[in-house]
Amino acid sequence: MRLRLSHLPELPYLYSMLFNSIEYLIFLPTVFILYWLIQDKIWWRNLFIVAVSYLFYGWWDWRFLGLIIFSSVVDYSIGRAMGRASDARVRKRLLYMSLATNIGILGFFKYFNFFTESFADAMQGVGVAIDPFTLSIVLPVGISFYTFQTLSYTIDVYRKKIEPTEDVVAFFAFVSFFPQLVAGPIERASRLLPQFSQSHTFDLNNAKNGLRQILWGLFKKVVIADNCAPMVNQIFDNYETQPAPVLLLGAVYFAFQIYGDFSGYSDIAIGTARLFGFKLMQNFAYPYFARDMAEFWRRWHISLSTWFRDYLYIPLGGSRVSSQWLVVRNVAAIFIVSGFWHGANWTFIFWGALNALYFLPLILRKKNRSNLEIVAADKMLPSLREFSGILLTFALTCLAWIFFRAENITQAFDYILHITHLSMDFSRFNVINHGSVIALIVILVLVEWVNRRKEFPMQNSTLPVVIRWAIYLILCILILANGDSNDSFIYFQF
Amino acid sequence: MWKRAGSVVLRVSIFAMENTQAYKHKNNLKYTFPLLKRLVVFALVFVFAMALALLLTGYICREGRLGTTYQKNVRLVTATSPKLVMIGGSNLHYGINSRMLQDSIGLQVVNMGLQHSIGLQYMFDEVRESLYKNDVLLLLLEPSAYIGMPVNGRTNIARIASIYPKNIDKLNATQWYNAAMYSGLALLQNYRDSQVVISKKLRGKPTFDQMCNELGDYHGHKGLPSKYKKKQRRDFNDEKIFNNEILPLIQEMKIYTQSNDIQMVIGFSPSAYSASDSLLFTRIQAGLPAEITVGNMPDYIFPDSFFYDSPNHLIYSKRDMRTRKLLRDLRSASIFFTPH
Repeated sequence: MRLRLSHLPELPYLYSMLFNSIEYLIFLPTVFILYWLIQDKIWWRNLFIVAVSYLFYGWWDWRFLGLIIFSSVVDYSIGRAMGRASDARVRKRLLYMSLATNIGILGFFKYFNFFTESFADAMQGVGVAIDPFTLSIVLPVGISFYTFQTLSYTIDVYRKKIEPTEDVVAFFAFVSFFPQLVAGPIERASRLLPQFSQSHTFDLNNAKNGLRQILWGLFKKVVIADNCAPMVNQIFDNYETQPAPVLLLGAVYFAFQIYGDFSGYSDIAIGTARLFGFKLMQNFAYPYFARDMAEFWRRWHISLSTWFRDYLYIPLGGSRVSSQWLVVRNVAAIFIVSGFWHGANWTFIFWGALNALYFLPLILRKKNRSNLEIVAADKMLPSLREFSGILLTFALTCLAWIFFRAENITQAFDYILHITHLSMDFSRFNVINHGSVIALIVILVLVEWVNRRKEFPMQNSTLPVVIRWAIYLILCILILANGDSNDSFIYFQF
Repeated sequence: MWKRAGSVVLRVSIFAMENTQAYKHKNNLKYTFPLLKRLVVFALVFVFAMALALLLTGYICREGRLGTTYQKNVRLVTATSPKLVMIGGSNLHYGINSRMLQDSIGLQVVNMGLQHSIGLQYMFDEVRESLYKNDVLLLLLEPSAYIGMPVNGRTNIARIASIYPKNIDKLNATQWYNAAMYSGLALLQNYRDSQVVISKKLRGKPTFDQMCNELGDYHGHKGLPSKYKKKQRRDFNDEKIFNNEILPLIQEMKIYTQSNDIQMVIGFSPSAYSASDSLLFTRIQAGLPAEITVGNMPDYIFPDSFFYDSPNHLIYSKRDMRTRKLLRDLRSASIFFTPH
């Protein structure tokens, strides 16, 4: 079952090419073989990537193609114009044009109805009844991701961090690269764009790791996330009648649903890119093993949090400002905007604000960089202090996830209120279904804990081949057995 | 613009020439061969492992509900013609008294009813070769089968193939595809059912196959009260009545039976839906070939208390009522059976 966000328009999932679909199973090997068949002609290879990426994206809805092409054309042209312009004012104007275009597109498709309805609600609050003007807007899948990716290019060119590219095909390939097009990781031009100018030779070990990462990502998405989803829906839809422990369990299930879904997708994207010789950034680094909220945000959705750090937080001054209030302002801004990025609902904004509240004590006390190394790096188990930190951070995260999952703020607070009632009425609780899901979560946590030093658990596995293949077989069977739901990825809606 | 187009054409041509020559010498695809070989071997191992797991669990599930197909198929080949062969879903398995029917009509009766989600195509193909001149084929499908269930089945087609491999040769390409796609889920369900079978055997309880008589009727729910709950009821979207494949398939079977002097009859399953469903059922009935349909579908709507554990499984004590109703429908439609 999908995460139901009733305020978002329905996406045209009927013909989507999800990573866990038959269409993708046919698409990927075909593209893989054709890609490596092409001689090492970089221009042709990039053109091929553009073509298959547009095919992949157009499979969702061909109407969305115009928007991504438009965004690519605008930012490519602006980049080149910036490169030619010597006047700083002209460069600044060009940057503003890029910002206006990309944020304008994002704002219109994603936030237009939110603003009009919120305005109407606010007017109603002061006794002025307004009928909000709303549009039936279909949210193009991945718009939040590729607009940020192209913005990173124009901003980096403006800052003279990178030279503007003259290779239009390479640029279009950078924007539309299909593994990370619809749900990230949000790549920086300085990292990904040069890879489209380099020739690639096939690396067997890298490709094997890519396949392993795809398999692990599918396991997290199809087996973990898709099994948590119906539990979450059942608990959140009937929270008024559930006992307190079940409500807490619901928050935990959602924590693993969103982690399995999003990190699973990222793994599939990164693994797919490896097959073609590309290196994408790590997007999740075992965030639920974080010992404090600062570490959590260094490990969760890394591409987005670093994007906001580099393009919003640091330009505002970061923590190197003259007063504590400015630090508070900067931290609040980054988290609230991050929440707002996730969706046009006050719940996301509140979720962002709550995370800002978690983060502020650490940064004001300059404790935000206390835990930089991997937890229990040279030990098997964490210390009691580390374990307490992990539990507390996880609890705070789950509390925030309640707001992320709830339909509205009222429901979120009501949910939390029902937890505080400490009801122990288990008459409507069906324990049978929960055992297997909890077992899967425990297995996931254990496997990730043991392999926390790696980018993903199966990376460069040194297990005997028989055991490795047995693990692959079991994972494939589990994925196939759970693959009937065809649920889309949560983050496609962002 | 023409210059640019010409440049592109030229580049394509040069590319084609270069690559045709280059391919003969060296290309990057060759380096992927070790990986592709591993993938092919893994895929073969995976298919083999899945098939083995399905067959092993399927062997245990011979004593489960779907395993009663063994008894039913034995009955199918041993019953002498002219005979009455009933096909349909689990409404037949749970809710008919074949012996009463047999005694009333004077023909040998075969109850092939199992689970409607194996698909109507399989139901027809399973009995086709065992139908002879003057036999009667009686179709008693659940309403949901007319609306939602694909004729080539889903998970249960994979399950039935693993539990009763003798009929594998009867599967068509679409059924093989569905079996492959749903093999993972089928394995999971086989595994769960095999746990139930093993648990029953360890406790000395009779398994499903031991609670099925030689005519194919299930009697494991004898004496058990209704546990059917209203919330299990499905609401049908009556904008679309029939799935696209079912009526042509029924027509095709009708033609086959007529050309082989076999009588085909369509009856109705008992249903525990509200009276408001009678309009939907009337529309379903209107879509079926009237000349071979007996009875009135809305007349088979019964109170919830008549049902055991699903909206189509009658409690044991109500089987006779349903059977008598069916007999009345057959007689009033002047279905004549050639006596022994």
